[in-house]
Amino acid sequence: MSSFRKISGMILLAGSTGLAATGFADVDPALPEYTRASGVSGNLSSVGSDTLNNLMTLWAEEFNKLYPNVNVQIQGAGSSTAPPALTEGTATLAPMSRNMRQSEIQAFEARFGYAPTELPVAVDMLAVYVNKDNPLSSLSLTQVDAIFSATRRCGGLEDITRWGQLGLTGSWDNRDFALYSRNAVSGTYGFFKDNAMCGGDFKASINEQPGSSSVVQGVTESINGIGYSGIGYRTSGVKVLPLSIDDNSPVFEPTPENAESGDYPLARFLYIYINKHPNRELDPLTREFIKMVYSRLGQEVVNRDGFVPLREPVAARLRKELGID
Amino acid sequence: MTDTSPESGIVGRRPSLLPDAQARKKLRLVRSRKDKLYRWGITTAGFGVVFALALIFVYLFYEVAPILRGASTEITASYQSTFPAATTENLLLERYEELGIEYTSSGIVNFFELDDGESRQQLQVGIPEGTEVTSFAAAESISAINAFGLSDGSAMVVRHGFELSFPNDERLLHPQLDFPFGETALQIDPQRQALRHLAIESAARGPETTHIAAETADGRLLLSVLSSRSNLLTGAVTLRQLTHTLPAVPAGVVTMLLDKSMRSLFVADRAGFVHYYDISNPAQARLLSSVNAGEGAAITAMQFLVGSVSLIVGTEAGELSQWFLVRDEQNEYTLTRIRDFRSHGAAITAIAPEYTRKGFVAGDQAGQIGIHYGTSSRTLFLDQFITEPVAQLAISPLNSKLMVKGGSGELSVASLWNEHPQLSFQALWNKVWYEGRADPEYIWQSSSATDEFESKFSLVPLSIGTLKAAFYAMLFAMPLAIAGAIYTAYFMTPRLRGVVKPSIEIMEALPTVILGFLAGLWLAPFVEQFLPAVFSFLLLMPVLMLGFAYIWGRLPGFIHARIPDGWEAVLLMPLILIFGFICVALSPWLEIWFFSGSMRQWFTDIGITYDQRNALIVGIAMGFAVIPTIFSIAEDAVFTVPRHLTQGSLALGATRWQTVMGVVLPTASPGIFSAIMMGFGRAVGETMIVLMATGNSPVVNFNIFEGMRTLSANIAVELPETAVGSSHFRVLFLAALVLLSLTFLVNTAAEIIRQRLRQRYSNL
Repeated sequence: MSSFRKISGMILLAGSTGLAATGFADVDPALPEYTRASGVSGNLSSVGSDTLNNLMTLWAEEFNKLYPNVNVQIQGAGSSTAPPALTEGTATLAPMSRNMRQSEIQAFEARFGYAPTELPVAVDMLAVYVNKDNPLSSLSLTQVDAIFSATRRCGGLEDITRWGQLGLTGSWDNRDFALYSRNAVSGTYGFFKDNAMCGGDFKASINEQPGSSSVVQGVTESINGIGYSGIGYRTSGVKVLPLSIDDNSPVFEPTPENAESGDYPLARFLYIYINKHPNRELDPLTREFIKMVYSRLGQEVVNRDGFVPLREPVAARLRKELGID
Repeated sequence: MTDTSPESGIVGRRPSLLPDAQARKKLRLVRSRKDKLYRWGITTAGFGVVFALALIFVYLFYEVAPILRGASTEITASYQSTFPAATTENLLLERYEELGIEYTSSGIVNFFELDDGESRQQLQVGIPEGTEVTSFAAAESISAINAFGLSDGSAMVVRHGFELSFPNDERLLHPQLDFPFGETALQIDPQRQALRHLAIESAARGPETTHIAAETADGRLLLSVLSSRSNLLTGAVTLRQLTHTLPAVPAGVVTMLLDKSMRSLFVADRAGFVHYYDISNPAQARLLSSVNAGEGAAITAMQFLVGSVSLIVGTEAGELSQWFLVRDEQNEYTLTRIRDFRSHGAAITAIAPEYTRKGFVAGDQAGQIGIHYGTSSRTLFLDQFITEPVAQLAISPLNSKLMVKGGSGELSVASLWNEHPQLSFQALWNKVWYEGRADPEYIWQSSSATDEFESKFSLVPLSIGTLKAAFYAMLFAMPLAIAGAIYTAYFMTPRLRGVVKPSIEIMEALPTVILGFLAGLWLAPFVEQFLPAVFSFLLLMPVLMLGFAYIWGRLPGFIHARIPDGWEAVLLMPLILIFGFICVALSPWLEIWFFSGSMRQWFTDIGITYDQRNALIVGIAMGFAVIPTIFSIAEDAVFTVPRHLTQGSLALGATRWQTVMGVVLPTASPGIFSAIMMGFGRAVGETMIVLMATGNSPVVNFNIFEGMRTLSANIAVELPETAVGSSHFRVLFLAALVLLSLTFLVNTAAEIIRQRLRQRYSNL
């Protein structure tokens, strides 16, 4: 038992230094402390994003510590599962790694008459990963588009099929690509398609992986691999490339500072959608959960999971909009 | 039997143990009843199975059937509009389908109830004193941005919107107008000439930029680039405007359109030409080409499909065609005619694109309405709608309401059912020319995060992938399983057989998800790293075995005597293991000697694409899953060949090999054949292995070193996450139907062939 504690303590320590080394931001000290409310019990269910799955689980754990009578259930198959679940009423929280589509909002409105409420809860950065032995130092989005896309909508002049076209030499000169991608139903896929590929199409030869970690796993296993996933999935087997908008712009590392300033081109909000009637208060269970998410406790969890926490001004505005201050 | 017993003769008078006549009758009755019962029972069960299978087919058809329906509309309300048709510049429906929106040339925006046309609110755009509206332009409908071109060379840009409130829990819309560039008109033409034609569009992504193109009264073509930047702290907007003069177009401009990527301007004219300007660098904008889109007929209407990539061109003759820019190898774009739609036969007067799909509605001079869809080239509806020419058309963002304004100012509101226009036989099974592609292709790319995405539902890559996976699995499994079955059943000693057969059959119980997992995470990287080992093993192993057999035959008799008959195969085991080890150990050296260091790279150099998770891996992994099925049935078939046949053959002097080839195999062939077909059916339907051991890449080829995406894996990946009832959902059911039909056909053919073979060899 004691040795287990020792080892887990060491892992935690190693983990925290690792996080510090990659430069994750600190949680905004201005965020309010969460105070436990009384009379909260019942079932809370969440259906949605795979990217947010870990985060939701961690939040649920914290929430359970505060309210042992609350039963939280979490499913994380993909963002596309969230809107139907919220519309059908099978979920009270719908975590998504992209905005809802017009058609999804319309389906919700058709049933309830009002739109679902969108709550940004954390900032994620999509990182482009290559194998750890890859000497490449950076990429522009135009190059990323020419590597992944069959349509090259971002204006790349030629299709990139060899690492040599990115300026690598030696054994890399004529080495081809192994492209790793998420599957079409994930929000990450859609976000990447929209922002890194200017809305174009993926090549047919991409390897569609069922989860973010299998993308990273794939890149680890292939020397010529390149793939994209949330920054939270970075491991020691892969290298994260800094990105620039186009060939003439400066490159930016995926750091919290660059995400906040908007310089890193593939930063995005992660959302939880809820069903809030415009004229009525939130039910106590959802209200307390959201309140916890926007407290220092909740945002520390965000930080711990490798995402970028929100700052107090944003959190305060959202709390105010929901009337849960 | 009992009467032959020795006691029966002695006792004699004991009553016979045979049933008497009555009992026999009773027994016969019972027997025939049982017989009937079983016959009925089995027949019912058999028909039950057929019925259940038919039900599956029926259910799948039921889910797929809505695809085949076209579109239908029904007029729900008709009334006279407040404004005459000639003054209507733009007609729109809002997304809740409560209100209609009408932009008029007097600068009034009228928001009216759809049911009776009563005006809810009329808002003034605020056209400056002393000027009048000379032209009008609308950006993509979803952005709600509209612009009025004025007689003094300026333009008013206005956007409509709604504020929502919920008094008494009922939704209430408050129409609003706002002015993204301020309430004063923007000066487009420094020479203050009236703007005869106008186009406006905002950038889809990147910095906030809006383009306004205008043709002035004296025939100049201007392009204004407006970039706005809002201060995060104060919220103040600073606006920068740069106006460029573009090369002029011939007279007779009908309409102008700007695209959302800020790269091109299209100008249609009365002579039937579409002029394409490259404006990606506005200061050096140039006229790249002019194409004869009307082929002699004047162009009367032109609109973008959603996403502003495809142009729909309607002509005086009623022809409708789709055009977009196709990039060639030199990165030059040419405006290309992609497809034609069914002709209206009367001049096209209005085109309204759908908001979230690549479809559009067209109205013509004769009062007909046509509902067409780009990707699938379908015309879903084309019929007389009103009795006068169509002046304006609007479709709701939900694609469920239609509004038409006739030449006399009469408004007709209609309900619309048009759920699955993007599916047709052509779109599912033929090559389709998708937006942005250089050629028509087979593509499966079903969904994305945005609504303007063009869904690509070609079932060809999936079907090819299914066959490809099954083919390579059979290539691996068939020789091993059948040869193994023959050896086990015919040559092996019963003791060894008693071990071998159950252990191969127990492989069947191995969960396929574990096989797939191992193949994807361990085998795939291993094979990539030791490619020469894999090939030398596969190619040299048969040679090695034959060589060993030859040597064994030459060995002196006393060694033979030490190995009992039927145990020879055991001798091969260490040999195979040692050889496998040697192959792996030699692999790096082989790479250095023959493949300049890396066989993987050598493939790339000679132009063969190699994916880590490829058909070879799937072939091996799925081969393992299929081998027990084939082996077990084929072994039974060989084993049950009657002994009198083989012994007869041997007695006549045939060798064991001759007996196998001449007697055993033909007799067992129906069984072996059905074993193969069972294996093939299993390989076609197998899901988890292909899901995990391939990259699920929907490619259309049979390259053993590339992956595939199969029908079953595709259903497993996508079905849980599609919206129920959507087109994507129905296509996946169609894929299931295709899969079921495929296995059904294969099994039926197999059964027929098996019956024929059995008849042919039954007289042996």
